[in-house]
Amino acid sequence: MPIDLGRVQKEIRDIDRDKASGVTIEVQGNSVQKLIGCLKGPRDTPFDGGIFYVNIELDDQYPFVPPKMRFITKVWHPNISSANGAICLDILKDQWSPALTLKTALLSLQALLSSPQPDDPQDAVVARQYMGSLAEYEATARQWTQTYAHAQQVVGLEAKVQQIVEMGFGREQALAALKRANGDENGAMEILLGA
Amino acid sequence: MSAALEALTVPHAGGPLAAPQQQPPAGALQQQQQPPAALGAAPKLLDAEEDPKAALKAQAAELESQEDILFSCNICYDLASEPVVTLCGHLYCWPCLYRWLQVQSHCRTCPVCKAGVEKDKVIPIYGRGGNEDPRAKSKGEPEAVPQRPAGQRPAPVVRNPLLQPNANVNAQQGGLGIIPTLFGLQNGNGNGGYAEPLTPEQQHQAFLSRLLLMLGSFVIMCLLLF
Repeated sequence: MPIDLGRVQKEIRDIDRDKASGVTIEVQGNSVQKLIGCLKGPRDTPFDGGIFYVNIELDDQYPFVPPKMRFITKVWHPNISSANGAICLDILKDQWSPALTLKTALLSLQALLSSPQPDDPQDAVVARQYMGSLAEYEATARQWTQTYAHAQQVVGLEAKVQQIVEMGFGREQALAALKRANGDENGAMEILLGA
Repeated sequence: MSAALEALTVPHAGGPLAAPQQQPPAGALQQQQQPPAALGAAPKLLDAEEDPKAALKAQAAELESQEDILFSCNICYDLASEPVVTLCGHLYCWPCLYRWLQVQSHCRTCPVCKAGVEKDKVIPIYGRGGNEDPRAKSKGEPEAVPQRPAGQRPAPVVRNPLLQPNANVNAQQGGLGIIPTLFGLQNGNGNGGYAEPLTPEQQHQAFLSRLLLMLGSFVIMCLLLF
């Protein structure tokens, strides 16, 4: 049975309408089953000032099964894998209910950022650090936020991608090449031209 | 796009984990500064693909009205078709709720409030225009969804006629309506004749009154016959 398009569209529209919520969502391409959510790091936490992107995949069974969510932006948090962004959050697993939405799930992620649950960790290393030395954890988390989730970098990269796209390459190609060239647009161009 | 993101995410997976206990060394950070940002920028790059989404949005906006929100199913967000309400008061389409109860095998709960829900304890709502042609069903369900449970039909609450100072009732009682008065069981405060559900105490009194009435008639009959 195909996914309930009507509901997903309503959800997306609700998120777009509510500017105050601090979360946004973008459809990837033409299918509404692949989305990218975006949330701001909560204030007074090491994640303050960061912009975090979340990869969202909707199963055909959605909303009867939870959406698959994974952080794209790297996060230092006991309940988020520092390696692949996997999230340990009950409502994304057995506590899911079809009355929950993508918006409530993203808001829950925001809440998770402000209140880590080290007793049920996804990343044991981070959890151990959190339990052992809170100050050290906060410093690392803040540094990761500045390194990986800072708004200015996101904007800077967008400009580079634009530049390459203007030269006639696809966005995905541009992104991949920039990644391989470690963000250097000249290097990326060389890769693209060589390929 | 997603494949590209996948590809982008994997390569630096091992990096900062190598020194997870302390802060990532400055050199490593430098090296990795751009790639994650590249990932972060991905959604912004989608702006050019706004068109299909905008079209979808406009289409959906047309369909929605205020009533839809008030009486929409808590699962599919559409106007509830074959509406049922749980004992906790939450409205669903019967096919949606049925499917959720099938999905939830071990512990069946209301999606909104997590109260317990049983399939045969939901209340169907029959609106005025509820008799739709079953062949016109828009949602093709993979497994047959059974009929929603029928509404319960409790017997209407009958006021005890004895508690009503009303001439008609006395006539129905064949003139014996006066007897409870003799026994002092008449509801003296005279509630003006409008129907109110009886309290258990009143019901008990009424039962006693009827019992005494029967006993009295029996004694009189015995006296007359023997």
